[in-house]
Amino acid sequence: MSNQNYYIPHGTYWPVIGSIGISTTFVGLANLMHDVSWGAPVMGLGLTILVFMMFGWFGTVVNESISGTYNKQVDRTFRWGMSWFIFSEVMFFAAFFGALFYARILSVPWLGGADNNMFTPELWEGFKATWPLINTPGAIGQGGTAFSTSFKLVDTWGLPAINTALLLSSGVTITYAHHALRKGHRNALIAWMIATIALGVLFLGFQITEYGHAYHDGLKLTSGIYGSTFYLLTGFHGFHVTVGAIMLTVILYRIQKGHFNSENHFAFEGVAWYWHFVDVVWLGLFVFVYWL
Amino acid sequence: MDIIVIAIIIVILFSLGSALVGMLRGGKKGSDKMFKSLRARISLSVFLFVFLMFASFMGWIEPNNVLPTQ
Amino acid sequence: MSTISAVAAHDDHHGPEKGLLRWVKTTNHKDIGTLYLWFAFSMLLLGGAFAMGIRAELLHPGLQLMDPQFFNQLTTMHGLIMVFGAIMPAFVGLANWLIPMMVGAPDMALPRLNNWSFWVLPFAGAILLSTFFMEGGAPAFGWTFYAPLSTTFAPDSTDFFIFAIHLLGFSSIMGAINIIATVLNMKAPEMRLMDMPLFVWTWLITSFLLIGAMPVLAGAVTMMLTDRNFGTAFFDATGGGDPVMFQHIFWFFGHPEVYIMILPAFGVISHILPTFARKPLFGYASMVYATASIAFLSYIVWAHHMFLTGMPVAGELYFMYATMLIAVPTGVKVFNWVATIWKGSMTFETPMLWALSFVILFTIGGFSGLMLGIVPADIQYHDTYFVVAHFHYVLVTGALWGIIAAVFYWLPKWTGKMYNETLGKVHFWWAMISVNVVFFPQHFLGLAGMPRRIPDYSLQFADFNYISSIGGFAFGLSFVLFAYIVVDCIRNGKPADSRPWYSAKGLEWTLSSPAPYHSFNTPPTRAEILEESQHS
Repeated sequence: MSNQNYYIPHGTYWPVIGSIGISTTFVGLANLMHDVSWGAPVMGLGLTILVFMMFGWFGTVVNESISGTYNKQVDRTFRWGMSWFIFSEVMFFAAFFGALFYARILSVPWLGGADNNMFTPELWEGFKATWPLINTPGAIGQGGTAFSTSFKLVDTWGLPAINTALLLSSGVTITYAHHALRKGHRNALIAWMIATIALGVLFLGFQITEYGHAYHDGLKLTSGIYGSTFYLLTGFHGFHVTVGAIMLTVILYRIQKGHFNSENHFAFEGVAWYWHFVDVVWLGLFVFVYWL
Repeated sequence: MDIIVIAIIIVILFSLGSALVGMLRGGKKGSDKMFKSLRARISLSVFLFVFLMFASFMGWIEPNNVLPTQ
Repeated sequence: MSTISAVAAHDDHHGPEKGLLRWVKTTNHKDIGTLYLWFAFSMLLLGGAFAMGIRAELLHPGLQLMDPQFFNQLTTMHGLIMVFGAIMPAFVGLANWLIPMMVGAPDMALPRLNNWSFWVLPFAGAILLSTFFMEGGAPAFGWTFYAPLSTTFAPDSTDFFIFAIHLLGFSSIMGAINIIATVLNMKAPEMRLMDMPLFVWTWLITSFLLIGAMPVLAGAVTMMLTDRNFGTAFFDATGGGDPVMFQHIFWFFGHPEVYIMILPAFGVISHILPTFARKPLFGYASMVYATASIAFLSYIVWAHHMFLTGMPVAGELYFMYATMLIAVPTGVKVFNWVATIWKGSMTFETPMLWALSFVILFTIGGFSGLMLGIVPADIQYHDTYFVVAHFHYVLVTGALWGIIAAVFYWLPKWTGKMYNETLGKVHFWWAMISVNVVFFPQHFLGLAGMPRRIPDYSLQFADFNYISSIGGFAFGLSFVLFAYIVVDCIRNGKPADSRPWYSAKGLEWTLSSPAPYHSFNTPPTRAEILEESQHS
């Protein structure tokens, strides 16, 4: 009796290769941070192994998908898997947003003496709780050097607004691509996909420029809680945009190979949803970091 | 004003989640639901951005990089 | 490697491949379950060895064997290894072995990912343990790694610890995704949600806890990493951050984590008690709802670990009352178990002994938890040995007891052989008595004011510490016997029936013993499912 109802893959080496790659990367990174000379090359080696693993593993899955090995059940499994993976990403971002809200609503006002913390201001004379927090307690205390103090804030109507417009447009273009795919308009689909990727890459370019400006104006990772939350949230988001752009490129390649049709295109849906998700995270960032 | 912005964000998150449910369901119906929800979410996002610009222009809201005068 | 024409190809892979590499490349849920269980057991022995070191140091007052720094490294690594290396992988191993069989599926939904979830663990464990050999030693700030102990004042090896946590979290998340997909998508088409056995239910709910909580832990250690290496100020008040913020984020993960480690044990006990009481499980539906309620509540009670951080009083009151609320669904479960065995025709085979002692000892741990949840009382108990006693009652005689009970209960199904019942009973009584000798006196120590995580103590604590240490050595030794029983069962056990426990219910018992390599090739019918379901 064969497993006609189910699909079970053969044994595979890709996972253990992935584990070797990811732990090599981490060991390299940790050593790099401790200024060990072989840290960077080891990390590079690890990343290479990871890329090799992804090509191999995803290649296998794509081949199996094209050859019609997968049935409805496998398709549903992929949908569940992707959805809950994304949910775990949401919770990852939630931790960083949580840190931002905690700092703004609780810890900074408390440092300024709010609620039951009437003695805290005694520790740092002259400290005023503001948001964005420019004069950190460490910068005005006796040592006065803990977290650098003077920086100019990024102008909301400069690059951040442009970037928001860019990323939102990429959300619009991918919606049009989605529409074209569903209607089976191949050329329009490819054009909209290229536009989406281009907008994403442009966004990343501007983001790097913005970091350059911010750094030049003194806003650094070491500028206290404002710099910390600013760089970690935007940096982590930028990392996700990078991953999303790579995934979109792979999808574009697969579109040109003719892997999808108007009915069967889960990979596209998954990546499109991911892109929308990254877009919404940015909108949240834009509103909470720059506006409210 | 803040409340309105946050409310729009919540609606956006809701439609994004609804698209996820559509993707999860799969098939023709799920695919339709997903597409419609995503279209709703991008329209709302663009609206929010335009609304922020307009509100700022009208002076209803200020970016938070203007430090409170002390 | 998978071939393209896999439909034709998988006709010929009915059995395992030959050679040791089989274990590296396997995508079979039973192989992976076995790997998980042996990994967890070896980590249990290692973490146990650390505990022996701790108890040896505490045998007498004064510094005896090691310097305090190394003692702190041992307590830290004991906690981390036991939580992330022993208990969690053991439950994932049980899930791998049992869930496909219980829902009438051939395998897990994502077999390759399943392999990866396991094969991340040995690498993560190796990175974590390698910190012992680094300059400055292993992390020594306790398994909760509070800032600033873990940021400003920690050795360089902490960065390796952070990456190990990332890897362990990754493994857990992938495992949880796999279990959700398996339960919801691979269960037999005729099986409805309320037909699922409780072990499946509890693990499904645990998976949601994992997916919600583990990424938050990853976020916390990421912020730790940037605070340590890139000068950010998340957990540093001089930069506008707050060390207490770390505790909030950590416990937002940490409290669901507690239930991640106990809910699957609840499921196991709900299988064993009905079998040996020869009665259906009392209140199947209420068990499901109670589990879901516990899971939900576990997300909104985290700050009861932080009553002494100077939280506003309103916050303390809220977290106290919310914590008390968890006693309600937990009480539902305990009463259901008692009602299940009430007037049953009980026999006391080894799994039943473990399950019954679970109910009693876990309840003790639950009650001491309630005591700790009361704000004014917690001010006395906080960071004393009372806390140590409490969480060892829920984690050792709760989570670990559930795992051992499950091992004895399903061992005949896994190996096709029966273990030695006499030795099993000897092991049970040995472990059950010694574990109470270790941990019960610690309640008194804590109430008398002995702080936790210290290598030395004042003289009035000497007697109870002496008793506790002697019990500790006896308890540690009992696991040698446990290992012997399992190996003896695999090698010399008598062949077991497909349903070795009379009146055991569940689809897994309809399969032969040992279970076939691919559990169900054709899904079970509605009649079979109803026949084997836990609700009467």
